Amino acid sequence: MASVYIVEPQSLFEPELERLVSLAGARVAGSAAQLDLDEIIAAAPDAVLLDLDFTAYDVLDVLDVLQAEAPAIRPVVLTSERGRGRLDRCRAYGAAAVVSKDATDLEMVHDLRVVLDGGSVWDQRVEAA
Amino acid sequence: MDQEHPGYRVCVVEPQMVFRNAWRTIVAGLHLDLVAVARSIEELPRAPYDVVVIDADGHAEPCAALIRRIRARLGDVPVCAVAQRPTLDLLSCRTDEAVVCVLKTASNHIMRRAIREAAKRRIVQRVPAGAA
Repeated sequence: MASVYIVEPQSLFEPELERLVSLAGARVAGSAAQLDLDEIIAAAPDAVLLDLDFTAYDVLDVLDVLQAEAPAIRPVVLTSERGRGRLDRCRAYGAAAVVSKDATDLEMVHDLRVVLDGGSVWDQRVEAA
Repeated sequence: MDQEHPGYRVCVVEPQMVFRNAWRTIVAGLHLDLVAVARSIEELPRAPYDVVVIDADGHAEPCAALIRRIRARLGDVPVCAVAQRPTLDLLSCRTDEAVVCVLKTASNHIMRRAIREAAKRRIVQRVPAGAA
């Protein structure tokens, strides 16, 4: 069974993401409110779901580390931030998917499934000015 | 819910669409009745609520301005403001007696307690002495 590691600083919403991972037919390899790259790499999930909104982290830095040190882990960036070129930058730094928080829960489940099947998702809502 | 403690009517403003359903689990507790989850204040159905919960993160406006807009739309209603960090913006709202602030690091139990606490803080209209 495929596995997903969840990084969700809004711990209030961690159980919801665990539910969506489960609905996508995957197991939760780990779940944390604080970003710990060593722990993620040690857990060796198939994908990591990263919500870094409202944190001090730059998602591109995190993607860069994952790409260099754990290229087999497919990063899924969940974000409410918007801006032109954001998708391209995340793609260049190794993201497998960028999903807007405007996604419904069913869209999120679908997108996770696509990533776990080896595909990519580029949510154009993130590009909106 | 029982006769002595009817359920508080709760509505939630959650701009992060992907987390809207999470509130159904979070609010599912003693004396709380989730009536609506809206994406924005403008989308809140006009109805009587005992408390409005707002996820205060990710808005362009300060929390106090969000609360003013909620009350402009729904009348004087207690508010439970939820945020990731204890920013000065969030904490400044605590001077409003009908506002409870809580962080997203809280457990569901604490979150429900905060919502119930906010619902109890019905807004009191004080009449200045001698105005009657």
